[in-house]
Amino acid sequence: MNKFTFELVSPERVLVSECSEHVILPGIAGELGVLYGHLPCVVMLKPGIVSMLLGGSISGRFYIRGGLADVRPNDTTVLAEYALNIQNVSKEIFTKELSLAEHALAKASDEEAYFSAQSSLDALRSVNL
Amino acid sequence: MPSLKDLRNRIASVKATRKITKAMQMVAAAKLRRAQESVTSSRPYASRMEKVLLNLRNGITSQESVPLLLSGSGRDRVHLLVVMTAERGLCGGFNSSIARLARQDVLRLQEAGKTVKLLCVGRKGYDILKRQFSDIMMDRIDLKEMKQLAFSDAEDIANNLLKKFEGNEFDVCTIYFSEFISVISQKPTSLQLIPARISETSSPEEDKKSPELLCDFEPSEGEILDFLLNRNIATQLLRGLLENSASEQGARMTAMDNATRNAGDMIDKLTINYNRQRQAQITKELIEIISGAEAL
Repeated sequence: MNKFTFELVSPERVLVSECSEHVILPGIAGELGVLYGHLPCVVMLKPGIVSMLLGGSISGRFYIRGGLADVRPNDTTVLAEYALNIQNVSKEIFTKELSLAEHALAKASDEEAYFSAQSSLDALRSVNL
Repeated sequence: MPSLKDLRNRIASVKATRKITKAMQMVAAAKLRRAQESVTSSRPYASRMEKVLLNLRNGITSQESVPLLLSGSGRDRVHLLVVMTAERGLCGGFNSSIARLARQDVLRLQEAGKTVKLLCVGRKGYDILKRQFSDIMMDRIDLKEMKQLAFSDAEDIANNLLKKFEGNEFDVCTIYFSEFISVISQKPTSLQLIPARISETSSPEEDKKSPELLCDFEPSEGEILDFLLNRNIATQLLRGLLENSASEQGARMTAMDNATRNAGDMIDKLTINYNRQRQAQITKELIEIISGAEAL
């Protein structure tokens, strides 16, 4: 399978910059699988899990608190508002993130905030540390 | 002429000062390394974002759909200057050089008949500017609680600014901070935030290499542009804050290095003085003894 460059950048640092075969992004209108040669597009992302696949197995998983993906045929960049590497995150930080999402859901006043809080909660609960 | 005891005390006190400045220099050096790292690691996000923004802006066809943050409110009457400085002093000319740049611009704009408002981030800038401009000072934001600067801190300030912009409190917003060039050189810089200035000259070679691809947008182009412009303000503010913190530590390191050296020089001078006086006193005592013995 052809590979492309995938970059995940948060305001504080670059989390990943490596080759991948298949990346799954949490698009605002549904999940989005990106392969080499994808049609160029700019997609808003909801809070969720970004997965990288290499040789059929998962090579990296990240939780992001929403952001934007710039997809091009041979490179894809995700600008995340906040990102956690699930594979080496401490339990403490993860629990904090979870309670933050729960708090946001309880406080959500409009539909948008509710949607975003619900998706982050769903994503975090789907993770098995 | 100070007595021997005075000199001794003086030397001891300068030595104590030297110890303090030396310690401050080392602390600044350690903090500088961390601050420098965060500056460099925050750059990719800003540059990528600018690239996407540039693409989007070039794609805009109808003038009406241009968001206010990009086109401005159409007026150029009220200017808001956001002056970002440090919370603490003892860092050479760092705070005063930013304040000086801001002051020049305030006076220039006022001369041109504009209304100017000031917003200070950090205590020192506020302290310097409030003397002259207390009537146009809008607000101040403390950085004291922010130990480790995070994106959310910049976001808070950005939301504050956006609320003011939507409330029509200003037309143009400019931030002032010190750009970190190297440990010994920091440059006070101003950057227009609203309406957004997206650099026109961002690597034309790269554009030539990859001819503009037709792009899909999800959701609509306008919504993404809106989102990005909002983000962009927070990102630029974060950049300012990070550059500032690195500059502050750099300036403090240089200032404290100078102070340490000056203290050393002073100790040398005082010690020579002290020794000379001590010898003079010994000579005097000897003369007294000898002349006393001769008189017998």
